[in-house]
Amino acid sequence: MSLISLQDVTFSYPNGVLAVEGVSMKLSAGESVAIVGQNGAGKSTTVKMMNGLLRPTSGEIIVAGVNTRERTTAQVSREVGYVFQNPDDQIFNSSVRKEIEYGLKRMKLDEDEIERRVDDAAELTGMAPFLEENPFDLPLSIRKFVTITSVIASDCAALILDEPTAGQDRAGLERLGELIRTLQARGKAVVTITHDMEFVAANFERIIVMANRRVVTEGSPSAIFYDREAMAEARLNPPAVAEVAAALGCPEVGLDVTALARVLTERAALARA
Amino acid sequence: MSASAVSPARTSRGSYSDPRESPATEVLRTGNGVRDLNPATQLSLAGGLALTAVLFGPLCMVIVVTICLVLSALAGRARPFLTLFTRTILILGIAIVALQTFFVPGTTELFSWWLFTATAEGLAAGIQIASRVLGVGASVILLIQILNLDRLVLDMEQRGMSPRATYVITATVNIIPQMRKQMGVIMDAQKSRGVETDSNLWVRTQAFVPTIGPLILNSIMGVEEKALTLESRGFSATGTRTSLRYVEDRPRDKRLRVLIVCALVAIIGVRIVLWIL
Amino acid sequence: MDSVTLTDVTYTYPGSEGPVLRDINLSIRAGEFCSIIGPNGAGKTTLCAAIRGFVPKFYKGDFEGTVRIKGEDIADASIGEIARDVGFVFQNPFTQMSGITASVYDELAFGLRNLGVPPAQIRERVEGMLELAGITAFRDRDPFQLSGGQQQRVALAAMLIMEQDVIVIDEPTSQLDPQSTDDVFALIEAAQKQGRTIVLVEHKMGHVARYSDRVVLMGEGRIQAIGTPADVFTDPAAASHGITLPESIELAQRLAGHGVTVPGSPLTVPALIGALSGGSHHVAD
Repeated sequence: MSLISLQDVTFSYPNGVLAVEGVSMKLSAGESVAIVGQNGAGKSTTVKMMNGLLRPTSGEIIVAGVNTRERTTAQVSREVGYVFQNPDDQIFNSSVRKEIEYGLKRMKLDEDEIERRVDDAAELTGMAPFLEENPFDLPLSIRKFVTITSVIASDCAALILDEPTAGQDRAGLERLGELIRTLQARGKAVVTITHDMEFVAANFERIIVMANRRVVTEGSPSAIFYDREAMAEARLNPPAVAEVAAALGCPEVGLDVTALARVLTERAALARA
Repeated sequence: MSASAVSPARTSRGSYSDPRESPATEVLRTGNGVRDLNPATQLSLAGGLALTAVLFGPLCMVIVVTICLVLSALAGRARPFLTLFTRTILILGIAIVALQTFFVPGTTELFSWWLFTATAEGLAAGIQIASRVLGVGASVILLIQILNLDRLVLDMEQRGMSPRATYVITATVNIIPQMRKQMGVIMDAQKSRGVETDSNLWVRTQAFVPTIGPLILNSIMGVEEKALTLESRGFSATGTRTSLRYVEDRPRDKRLRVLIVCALVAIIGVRIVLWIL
Repeated sequence: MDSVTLTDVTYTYPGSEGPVLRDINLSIRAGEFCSIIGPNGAGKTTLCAAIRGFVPKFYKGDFEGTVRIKGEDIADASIGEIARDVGFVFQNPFTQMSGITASVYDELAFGLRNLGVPPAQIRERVEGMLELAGITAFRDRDPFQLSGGQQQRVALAAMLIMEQDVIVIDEPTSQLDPQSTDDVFALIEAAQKQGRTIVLVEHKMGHVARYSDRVVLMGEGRIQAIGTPADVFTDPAAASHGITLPESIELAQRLAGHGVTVPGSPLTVPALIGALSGGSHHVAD
């Protein structure tokens, strides 16, 4: 059974603006999915519906077997955590530890359990050294990890990350990739909205491409990044390896640089012979 | 470089150039006679009406409210005027009359209802207060219908108010919808980590800190950047500023204001005479 | 002529343990497009703040060395005076709107009105800037109703219209999608073509490689490498300083790891494709 299921979902804002139209998708425990597309394609609205922040105008959303219409946002978000793009919309406590604890205290867990979860989540995201610091003394890229940690600590079954790579350096990107793999290994579903195709190529099993409020196509990165039509419709540039392989007429290498090197070596050998 | 190109000779700290000097400035006009009155005229008009209502109470209330309605209609705003008036001021007025009637002690009993007794003294006091509230309320609502904030601020600038003061007024008014919008985002962000914000009052009270906290912190962080940005866009320049638009203060505005003042003097005179008699 | 010169700049924020900038010596030529890159915490933003005079004037702290703009030491100038020569744009466009204008047009006019520029000249310059920034279509829109990318272009245009010689831009595209990023870079390039000196902090290395004349790699408060994009991104030290590389160079390096060497330094993916399809690459036996 899928963890999150969207069935023919449409959403219009109260002012009548249509944001998502006839979208269906399924997400299972333990998988990593990237939702990509231009701003305004409907990505944010779609994930906000998964997390119960928005209720579809028509269609159904089932999270862990329950229709989101029957739950409050806070209840749905215990299953599906959502890390907002701007950490400063969330942070208000005077230390990183208090910030992470906040949601857990609201869930009325006992103190030992709270401490165990905070330490575990902080270890996972690399925030352990910062626990006693004031979040506003930390750079934005680290504050982003603080909010990720606070959502992970709630132990939700699915995690939505909105533009996690914005402003991250190499170390931050590597830490994010590692985090996604660990969460998957623990059976969590990870959903990411991102514009960073290299990041998608390196870390995700499935891509859902959105454009003009609809799902254009979905599939594995090695299939999607060679789908010129879909990439053009969503105005995305595939990662370098796919662009190079497509141009050199060897799409069969997929996103595998080793395979690309092998093809180039073979061609050079042929040319010499 | 443009910044240093400003000749310091014309400087008089924080004043504005006379916009009528240049053909490239435009009149800020809506095309409606009442709404295009000078803001000072509009303010004195509403102020005069309110004062009349206060001075005369029931005697003039109907006249004041009627004038307000007619002016709103001339401004093309009869419907919003009536909607706002009936939903706020009228209800308030009726409530005042009812409360006074039943709760002001008196000797002349009109009728009795359950535990309460209506008195003629109460009714009279209610009408006195309510008619003033109705008159002042109608004047304020008239002002809301005809006065445009941009024109008001521009007019204040033209009358020599400091650019900093007018900046504060405009920015404060503009920041409310922006803060409301940001508040929505922050509330969503908090809901997303399990903070209930749309349940009963107690739950909402608990959610107050996590929503107000980031809002204030964001504003503080934003203020620093905004101050630096304004600085580099010449906000603290001391020379004469340019206006691209201006608000007219036509002879008829001036005549109208003189008329209003004369009428007020007459009204106050009549009031005093009536008191003495 | 040098537009910005930093000599032996060392700076410590009040209350922080060690210096955030250490012995910075840097000269940026007039009209140059200079990008500052490096991992988070390397001192990039502080370096920008030093050029704008916010460090030490606004943030206080211990400051040594000199910063010169067009040859003049800014130590004795006020932030307002420096702002006449150095414009700047922050990451978040929201905080950069004046907050008192109802249209993009008025937002651009705001700075010029403060300076008392005659109305006809303001109109002419606003029209020109709307055109240059590609925002003519939303001239009458409320700046706060625009998307992040559009707002950032308005913020940039509102600063560029002040015609300062130097523009310092701190991570303008970190919240933007690829299309908006391209639009913002196009505008920065247009400003450079008008002769402005550009100092840019940016994480999107593909764009840095494509647009910059020179790249400054910061790490731990020091300048670790400086040179053309090709020099800095192919410097073996670059990767060890915790930055990502332009994707074409990253891929070329990974191919090299598998015995396929691409000559030169392909700063863009098309350049890499060109090198590989032209057969100029070398394959190890």
